Amino acid sequence: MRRVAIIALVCALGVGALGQVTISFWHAMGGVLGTTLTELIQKFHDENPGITVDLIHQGSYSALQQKLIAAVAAGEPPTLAQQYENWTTLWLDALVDLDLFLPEETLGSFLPQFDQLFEGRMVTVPFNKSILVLYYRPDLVPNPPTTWAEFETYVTAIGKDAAKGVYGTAFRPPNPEIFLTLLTQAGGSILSEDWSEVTINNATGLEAAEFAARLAKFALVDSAYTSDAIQKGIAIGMFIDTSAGYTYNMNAAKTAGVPLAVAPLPCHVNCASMIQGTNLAVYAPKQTRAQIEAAAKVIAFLLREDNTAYWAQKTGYLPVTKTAIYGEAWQTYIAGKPEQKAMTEQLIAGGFGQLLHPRYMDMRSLLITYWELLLKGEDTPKAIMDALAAEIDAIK
Amino acid sequence: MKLPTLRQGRRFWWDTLEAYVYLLPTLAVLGLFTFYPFVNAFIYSVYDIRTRTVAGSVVHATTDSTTWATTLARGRIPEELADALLKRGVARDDLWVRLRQADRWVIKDEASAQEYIIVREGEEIRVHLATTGWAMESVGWDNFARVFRDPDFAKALLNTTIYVAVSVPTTLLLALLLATLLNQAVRGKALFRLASFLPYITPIVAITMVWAWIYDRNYGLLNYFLGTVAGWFGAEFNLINWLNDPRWTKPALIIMSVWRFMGYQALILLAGMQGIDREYYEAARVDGAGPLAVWRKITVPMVTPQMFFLLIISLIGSFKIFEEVLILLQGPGPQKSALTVVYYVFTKAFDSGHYGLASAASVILFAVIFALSLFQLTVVQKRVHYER
Repeated sequence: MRRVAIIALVCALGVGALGQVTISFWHAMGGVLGTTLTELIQKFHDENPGITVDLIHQGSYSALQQKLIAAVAAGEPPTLAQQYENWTTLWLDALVDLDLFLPEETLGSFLPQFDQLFEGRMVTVPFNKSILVLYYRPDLVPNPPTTWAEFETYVTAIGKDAAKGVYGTAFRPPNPEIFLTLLTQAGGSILSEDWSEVTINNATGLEAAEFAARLAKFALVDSAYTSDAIQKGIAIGMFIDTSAGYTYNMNAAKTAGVPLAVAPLPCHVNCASMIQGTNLAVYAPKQTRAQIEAAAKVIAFLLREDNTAYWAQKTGYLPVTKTAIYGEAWQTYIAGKPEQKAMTEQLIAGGFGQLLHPRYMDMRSLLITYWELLLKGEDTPKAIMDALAAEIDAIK
Repeated sequence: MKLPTLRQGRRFWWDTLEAYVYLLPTLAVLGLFTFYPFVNAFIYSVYDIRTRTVAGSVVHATTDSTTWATTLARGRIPEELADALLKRGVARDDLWVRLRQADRWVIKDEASAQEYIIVREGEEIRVHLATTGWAMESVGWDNFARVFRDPDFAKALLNTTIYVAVSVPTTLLLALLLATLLNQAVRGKALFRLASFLPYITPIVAITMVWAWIYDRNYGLLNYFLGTVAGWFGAEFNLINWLNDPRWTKPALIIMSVWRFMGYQALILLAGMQGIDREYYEAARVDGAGPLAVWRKITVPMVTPQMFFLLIISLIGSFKIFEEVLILLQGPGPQKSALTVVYYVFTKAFDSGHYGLASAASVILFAVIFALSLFQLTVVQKRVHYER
């Protein structure tokens, strides 16, 4: 009798295992972000006992990128991974068209800011997204600026005294997204709409470059995160930074014993602000249809209203779906959080994403080089923008 | 040359075979991790390599492009296609669409994992066997031309050359002085030797993390030390931003490199010094030579074989500087002031996915190192004194 029971149990487990689908999910979410993601995946496991998600933390974004590049080249990618737009363009053919696998309610839920097609295909969905906002010291800037002119007036008034550690603003050379935001706010773009011409050095591009160069004279220009400078006691009147840096910036201000608040960016021709953060993509090589369907289920689960709102509340990222951002949970949450409300308004008002050009990776590398030259006043804004345009033209 | 006799010849072949068997594990490791990548770098350098779905042989063709396009756009398999593939033993239920564009679709057979790419050209649609993975397209010397046109590569080559030109002779000179000191009859010599060798055997990651702290602008030991020294002389000292000022990133790398390799090189030179026949020194003393003359005329010339070996090894090693840049500066440094050739290769391959371009850059680096090594072997070696 006992033997029969054991055989029955083994058979039952075997049948269960046969129906089990296992997928790998590579991500770069550390600290509280990783904990929250693990928590959500655990909830997914509870709701979907037939699917096992191997959540694999790859360390930093650059480590994730390098591992993905190597894995795709070796033909052994994960089932599901976080990735930036400019990585996606490197291996489009290896990805699955997600609109073939995601349910209608998920497909129709994204904010228009995240409508992005790669060569006409929907191969990624937004996941952990942040936006550039203005961090300011209320004791130095009583009313946050709403226009470029006001921004410049404040920055000039605060001035720059390196010996005392006082700066009107701060810029990070490795972060050209700030320049792209200024460029877009001035009505400019890197390339023309059909990508046939480089437009970054036209009148609007030059206006943005000259504005940034004027501000840079009163700015702390450092590759390190601005929160590091704040923590060391350096006074910065205001600076543009991602909403994902909220916790770090606030903690730094707390350590330094100074006030810090968040406002939407000052606007110019428009109120554009660049969206940052990664998307989710599903890989085809070495995956079965069941694994791809399981990955699509994970995506749909993560983008469900309750989970998206929870993820945003816990991590500081912004909700990426209409259902979540206008939903009761998020609206109730931001009603008592003016900073998060400012970030949400910024996303709705002017969020724009990366240029989905196949050579954007190389263009961004050039942008970093010339953005640094501009900030350090190595040449005139016109000469810098013309040189940048020539280099982009050579690779576009 | 005297050829072995038949009997001796058999013995000769057995000995050779035995030697190769002993060498086999080493050859296997070298082959896999050194020679195979080395040869591949040359091959890849003339290709554009991307991850693509590549079409193979045609398995079906049709002119009913409108029906096919509409059906595939819905993520479904056209009847005609299902029938055609059924004849090849593919079950209809195993087929699914994974990629769809206006004129290109990819479907997969779940049972065999075989992919098919469907391409529309005008009214005609062709179904090909397909594979997704690395696709290599020959581009001739294009990758080399692009590397030479890239201002970043020129910058990387210049930065690396400056680093090599300063760090290699400085390390060697200081190592020679250190070896001379260690060669004296002093107490605690073993401890000094150990201390000077420690940086070489400590993992580079650990060393670099420590140096990142030493170089910190506000709290670093180096600025503290320099400030203190400047204070003794009543001079003003402006804190140096070692890792964020483009003027100081290369000196930062050079100082760390000199510190790391000086001890190792000193021990090699010390071994050479201790092998010098005492008779030379005694003869010099009899002739009335002073300590400096003895060092210049006997010690230094007699260790030139070791110096030559160190020169070649350190020159090759220095041209390949990478980990220090990656960990100490976490990037190419401000204004790419510390962008080195190997870091350039790394970013082209693993940040931008341009494997062909990266391979071309690595082949150029190989050519530079090879040419310099040849120069040393032919020209510099003539100045090396080998004891007969």
